[in-house]
Amino acid sequence: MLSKISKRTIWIIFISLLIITVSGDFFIHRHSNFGIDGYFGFPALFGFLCCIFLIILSKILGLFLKRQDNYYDE
Amino acid sequence: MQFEHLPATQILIPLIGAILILVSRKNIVIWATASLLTLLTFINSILLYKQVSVDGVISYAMGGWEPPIGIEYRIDSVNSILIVLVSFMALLVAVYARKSVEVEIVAEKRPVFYAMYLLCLTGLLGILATGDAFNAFVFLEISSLATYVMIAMGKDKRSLIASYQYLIMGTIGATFYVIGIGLIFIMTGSLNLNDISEQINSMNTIRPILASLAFITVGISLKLALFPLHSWLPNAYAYAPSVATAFLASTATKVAVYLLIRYFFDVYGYNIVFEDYWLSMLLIILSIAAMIGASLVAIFQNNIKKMFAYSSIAQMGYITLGIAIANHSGLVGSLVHIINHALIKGTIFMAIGCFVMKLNSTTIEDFSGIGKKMPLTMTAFTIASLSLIGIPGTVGFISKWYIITGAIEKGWWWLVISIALSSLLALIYVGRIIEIAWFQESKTKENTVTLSREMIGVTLIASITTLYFGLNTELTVDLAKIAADSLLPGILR
Amino acid sequence: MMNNMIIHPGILLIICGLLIPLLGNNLKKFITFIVPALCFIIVLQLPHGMHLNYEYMSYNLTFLRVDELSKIFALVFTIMIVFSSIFSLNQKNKTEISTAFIYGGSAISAVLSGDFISLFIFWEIMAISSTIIIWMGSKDAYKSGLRYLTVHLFGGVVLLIGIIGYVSLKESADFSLIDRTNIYAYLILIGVLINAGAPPFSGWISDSYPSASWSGTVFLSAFTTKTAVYFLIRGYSGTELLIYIGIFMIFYGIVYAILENDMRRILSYSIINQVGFMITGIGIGTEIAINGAASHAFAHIIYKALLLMSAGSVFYITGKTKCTDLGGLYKTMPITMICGIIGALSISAFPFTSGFITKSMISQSAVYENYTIIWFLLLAASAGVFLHAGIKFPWFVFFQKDAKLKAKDPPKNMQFAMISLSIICILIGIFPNVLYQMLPYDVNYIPYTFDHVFFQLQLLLFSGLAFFLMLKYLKRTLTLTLEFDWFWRKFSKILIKEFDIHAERTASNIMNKYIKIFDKTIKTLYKHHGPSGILGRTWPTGNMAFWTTVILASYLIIYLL
Repeated sequence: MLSKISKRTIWIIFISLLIITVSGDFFIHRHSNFGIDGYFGFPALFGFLCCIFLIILSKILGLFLKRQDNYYDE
Repeated sequence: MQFEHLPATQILIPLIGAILILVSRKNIVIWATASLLTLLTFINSILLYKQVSVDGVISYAMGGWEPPIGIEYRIDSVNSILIVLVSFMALLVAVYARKSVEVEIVAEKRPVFYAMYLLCLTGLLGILATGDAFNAFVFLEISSLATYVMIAMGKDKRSLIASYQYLIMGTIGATFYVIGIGLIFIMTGSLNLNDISEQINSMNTIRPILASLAFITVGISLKLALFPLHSWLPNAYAYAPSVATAFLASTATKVAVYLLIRYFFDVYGYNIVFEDYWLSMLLIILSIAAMIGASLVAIFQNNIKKMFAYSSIAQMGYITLGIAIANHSGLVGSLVHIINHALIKGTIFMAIGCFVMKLNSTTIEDFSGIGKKMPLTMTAFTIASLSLIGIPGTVGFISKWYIITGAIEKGWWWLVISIALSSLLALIYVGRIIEIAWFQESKTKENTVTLSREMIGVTLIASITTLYFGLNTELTVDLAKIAADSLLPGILR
Repeated sequence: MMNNMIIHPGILLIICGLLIPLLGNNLKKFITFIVPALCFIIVLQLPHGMHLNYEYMSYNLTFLRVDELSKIFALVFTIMIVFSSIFSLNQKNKTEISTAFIYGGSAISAVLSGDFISLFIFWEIMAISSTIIIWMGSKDAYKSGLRYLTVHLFGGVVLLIGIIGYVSLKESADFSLIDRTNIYAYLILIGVLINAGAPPFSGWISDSYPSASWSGTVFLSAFTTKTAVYFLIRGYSGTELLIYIGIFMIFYGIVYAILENDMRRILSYSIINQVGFMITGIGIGTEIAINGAASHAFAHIIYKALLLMSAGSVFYITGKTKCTDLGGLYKTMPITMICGIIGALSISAFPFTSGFITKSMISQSAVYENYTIIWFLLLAASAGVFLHAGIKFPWFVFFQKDAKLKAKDPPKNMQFAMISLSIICILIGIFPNVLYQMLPYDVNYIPYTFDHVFFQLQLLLFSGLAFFLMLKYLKRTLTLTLEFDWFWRKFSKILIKEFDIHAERTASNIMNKYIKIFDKTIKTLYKHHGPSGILGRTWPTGNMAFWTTVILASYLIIYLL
């Protein structure tokens, strides 16, 4: 069933969801705890950037700490 | 029932047993006699203990001659439990012994072996019961001589050499002890322990007294295999007959350390012995060396009997450590560990005796997969080994708890770390055996000798005691506390 | 049911665990179904208070201390055993379920203990039984289990020394909030943190949990770490140090999970990450924070079990665990996939799942205490959780490319377990008050506001966007990532090369060297008289006579000085 749906369709659905969740910010007054988190689309932007950052951080760490699978094999 | 001569019968019963056995021939008769007499000895010890718990200290004049000229037997809270302990272990091992002795000792020598066994028991009980310094020496020699004979009867040719080494060292130790007594006698004119302790209290010149303490300490340290005077022990335990090892490992060194405690705390008194920290420090250092060094050597052994012989040296280190810490908790820990270690090592060496009978080998590699072939024996062994490590729920946990508490109370952190370290080391050598026995495939063929029921039964019973007293602490700990109270001066309780 | 007679559920489970090997197959299955459920009912009905006291070593032990906190942990532990037992019915190794009962039973007993000593006893039983579960995983599991055992015994020793000291100090073994003005409190803390998987002692989780069998890992995930969390809540609420340890653990778990290839190792790192949230909550220490930590532990046990069951099913059916080997299973294992996704959504705190109503309380507590930076870090972490577990796990296992693996959904009992846990995750998510009622403190928090829901949705969905945009940088490689345990794994290998079994010779060689030196001295001294000459070789006895003299001399010197 799922294979019949093409990749393009999935992307369209996904992007629509993204837009819906962001547009919620127009209608809902968000209770702001620390100022910045009350801005429009803050969680979206924050989530997106944090993930990018975490991925980059992991990659950098990986440069130093990654080893072959059988590194410890005894 | 008020039977006054209990202290005397305690010694006489095994002695008579030894004589009876010497004139017997048949194996069954010998074994039955030994078992019966050790049973009687055990019953005697319980009656004696009950008397002491009611009456307090029992002072018994041997032959009716009053001390300090006559020989006094003095039973109090400290030695009454140990008398019960030694009698109990003697009983267990005697019942266990039948098949093992049949296999390991030639027929003509068996009566001699059993006779020596009972004679050794006589000597050990004598040391525990007596209140006279020279009498203690006599019994020391009796038990030692009986031990030398027993060891020499081992199947392995090296048993002769082991016995010889022990003989030399033992005699040196006894000699030092006698020299110490001699010095005391010169100073006090008395050989009665109680009398001596009163006199020492009121003495002015203590130099010779301290010298005598040094001699006595060294003499006894040889007997209890305190590092570095321990080298006789591994060979003696390894090459003696399994029954002898089981009995000796659970009693001989414990009696020696009792004697040390008696001299340190009763005869000389806490103030003289522990006044400055020198003796404590020396004893502590030697104890730690034993605990860690002997455990390390045990790890690398290939002979299972030697491994646990070194383990015994390490465990004695715990006991001497508790003495050296010399506060209430430390002393309670030592006393409890005396009881616990007797139970543990008795079980372990009895189990080893079963294994050796089946496998005809003491090499550890030959033990692979034995867990599946001899599950009951291995279970008993495992339970006792868990106690060596100090798993909660076993007796070993309790003694460790108290000794660590004692060290913490004194603020000696390095002791705590050493105890923890040696427990981890014990884990390694015990783990080796457990891993090989339970988790590996068996390679060697065992012979067709079947284990007798009493061998397995007694071993299992012994292992259960290591669990029982680990859960029900009243008997051991409360008794040890009473004993420690009587030994330490008032301020330290 | 019972008025005066109280049955201890944990001990009941342990005893059943010990008896199982002795039973026939049908009886085994019966016990496996009935007993955990029975324990669940018993725990539900346990009356509050201190029961089952026992005198040990002149301290008073309490085997049943029942209040909201211990009850909620005991409850989720029993739920865990019920469904994990059903899941692992197909495990051929019958000893595993028996050991699992002992493990779970001792965990339940540990959280129900009212004093340090009984807790320690069960702590050790947990360590031993969990090691055995690991050992039964595979042939290679032996070494990993050995490392696990070493870490836990070391932790146990540190814990024990701390307990002995603390109990002596307080002259009581009762376990309640710990007084941190002495060193023993910190020793205990270290011992507990080792079990919780705090760095630098975190290597054991990712090393050993994946070594266990497909069913064993499910059992392992719940108990050791959460018992430690319980201990921290009970004893160390409000310890500020824990906030920082928690935050470190959170990001440690995320980063390592992003780099990881083996799906069960990913989930193991995820445990460290989630426990980090709990520990941060404990550190904050306010009522809502503790509520958050406890409820999060509850939710986590369920959804982590669900995730590991999903992964375990994949492993069971395909025999594969590496992301590089997997993919495309959505077609062939739909039930597993759906349950896996529900678990993934729960861990990510997606609205209407259990994670959403629990983790948020921890964040909210940070708001109330004005921990600004902490709050932002927790928020970033939430994004990261979705990244490494919420999406990564289902994507690489079930979607991604088609690895053309022969597969089908696992046997019915395994499906039943997974579906049941999924339902629980969702039910808790929809009806939060069921869980809230059981919490230690009154709950004034309302999770479902449009505000919260949309906030979370934005956060999660845009994190997902980041994932898919960066997908090509996240391609899995056949690697592992080094952790703190490198120090003692690599080093120990070097040491072991020097000291192998035949080192008895080495040891005695070293000793002999020193003995030889003294031998020479003695030989020259005793050349003209003494037995050593007659007998023709050096006896150790001559040696020992020397030592005896040395000792005697030292004593004499000491006294006569």
